[in-house]
Amino acid sequence: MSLSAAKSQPGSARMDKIKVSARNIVKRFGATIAAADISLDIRDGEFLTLLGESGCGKTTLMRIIAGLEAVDSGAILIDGRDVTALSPRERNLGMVFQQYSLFPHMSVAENIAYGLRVKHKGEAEISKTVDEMLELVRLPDLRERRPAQLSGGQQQRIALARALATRPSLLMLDEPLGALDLKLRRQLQAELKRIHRESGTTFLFVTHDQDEALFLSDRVAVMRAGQIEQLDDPTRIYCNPANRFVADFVGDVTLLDCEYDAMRGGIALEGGGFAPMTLDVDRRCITLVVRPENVRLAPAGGGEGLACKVEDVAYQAGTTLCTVRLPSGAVLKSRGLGAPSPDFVLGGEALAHLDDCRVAFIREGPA
Amino acid sequence: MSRATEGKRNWAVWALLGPGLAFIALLLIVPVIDMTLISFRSESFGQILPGFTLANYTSLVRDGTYVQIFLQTFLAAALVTVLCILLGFPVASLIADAPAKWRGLLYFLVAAPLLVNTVVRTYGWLLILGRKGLVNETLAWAGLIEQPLALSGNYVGLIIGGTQVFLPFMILSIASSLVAIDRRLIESSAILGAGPVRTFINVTLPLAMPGVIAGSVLVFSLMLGAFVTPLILGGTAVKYLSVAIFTDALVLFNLPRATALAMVLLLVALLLYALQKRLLRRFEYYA
Repeated sequence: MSLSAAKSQPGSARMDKIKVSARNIVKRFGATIAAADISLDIRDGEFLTLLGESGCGKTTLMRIIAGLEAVDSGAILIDGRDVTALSPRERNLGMVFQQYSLFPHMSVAENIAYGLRVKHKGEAEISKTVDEMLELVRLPDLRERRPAQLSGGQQQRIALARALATRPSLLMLDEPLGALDLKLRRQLQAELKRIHRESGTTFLFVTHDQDEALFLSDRVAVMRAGQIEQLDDPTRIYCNPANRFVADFVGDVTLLDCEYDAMRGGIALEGGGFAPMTLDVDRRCITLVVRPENVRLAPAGGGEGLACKVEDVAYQAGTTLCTVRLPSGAVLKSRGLGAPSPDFVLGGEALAHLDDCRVAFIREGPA
Repeated sequence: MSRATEGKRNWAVWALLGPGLAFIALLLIVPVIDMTLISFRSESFGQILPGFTLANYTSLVRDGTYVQIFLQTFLAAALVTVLCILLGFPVASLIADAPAKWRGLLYFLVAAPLLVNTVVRTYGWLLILGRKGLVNETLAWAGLIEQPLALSGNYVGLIIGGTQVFLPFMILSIASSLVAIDRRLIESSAILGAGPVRTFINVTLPLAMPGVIAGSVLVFSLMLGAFVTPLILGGTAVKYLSVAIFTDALVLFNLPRATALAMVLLLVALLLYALQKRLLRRFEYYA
């Protein structure tokens, strides 16, 4: 594989091609529905993430694509070819599991070479590919080590190298960073992004960590109860959540049930309070998605704004997160740059402004 | 913790260990030393004479009968071990692949024969393998044989009986290794393009080796020391080491030679144990 493969850009000719297609996948385990008629197209070269809580069916969907799990109905197509009846070994895929699943009795080089040996490649080619892969994951000196002699992060990189060595059509990653500590996870996330770019391989990533999903992916599929709730790019998932569940699941959020008053040009909150904003909606009952960065706090007694009470002020390395309560009982969070302002003290009054240009709303309002 | 309480604790530990250690010293270490000494003495009509001699050991090498006994015994132990591996591995795989809730029952079924006394079990085999036993009667009834096959009172009977008696140890040992193998290693191998045979040879077998080795050493040393099975199923046709020791000690009253034979057996068992330690270290992947 060429290490200088073209960076995958949304909208490029490559990305218009469908690499893997899951069609009407249905899978039950007893009474549990792991996949309720899921259809999903993975574009060539993209980094797609299945995001959801444990038990939402994301891992099952991945295992079905891998051929490790049979479907009750539906079909899997790879490069346009129906592979539903094929075993995992016939699908030319790569997989990285959460727990380091390197072969413990083989050296790093033997692990990476395994898939190539199975495919009867020549020794010269195998050796060259092993070098390339170690270079790609930036661990060129570990060739002869045993997995037990590597750190968790190193093992996952070698697992990545082993999976990519066979040039798979699709690389699947099942919570590959889940067992690592936070700092290492951040580091490996950046590495993953680089490796995805440099290898040009299509990535299917599974995680329950929304930050990870938004940071890494070209597109994110938010899953719940065996269904895809929304499939979109990270910005739209965050700013234009398709429904209440997605809005609530992704990011820090307050969902404000309120009435939109087009005449007055603003929203009226339950329990009093009015916030001016222009929304392009035709219904009265809406739910506002309020993110911490949409809420601006002003000192009390200074004109307009929603009266509220400061409940918590937390400095979080670079930003300050204030938690305030509205008279209705609703809790808002406000994130501002820099250190806490002396204007806002615990138990004190403040005025909250909802910055309308960045406040998204959910199409499905309450009844 | 202060020195005084630590001292008190040590006392309590020794007081609790004392009876056990005393038993081991009296019933294991002292007799072994005693046996070792006797094996270097000579005897006359059951009387152990004073003095020192290597004759008991040199005769083992010079006397053709003893060489034959050793060869037959080691061959039987080796054969039984190999058969146990071949027959036990599939059963162990079945247990390891079974859902966790069934595993307990399967373990019990495998271990259940151990609850029956070996003498009883071996007589059971005699009923099956004898001249008028189940196998011969069935084959004769089916018209496959005219003369009954010699399945007991010989080497064949010994191997069949020994395999059945010691198979559970091999199965349990291999199964414990197989259960510990992460299923994702097998899945990784499949995704990387390997078929079931290749996955078995390259992944499953190397990772199951600790269980195979431990089981083999166990079965081999148990079979070397087996007494009831060779006596009943081997009959007089098979000269077995443990039977020879018994005959020397309690029929011929030649205690020095019996202890010399026993010392050889003990030495072999210790060597096997050392070998197992070495081999297992090679298969310690997770250290």
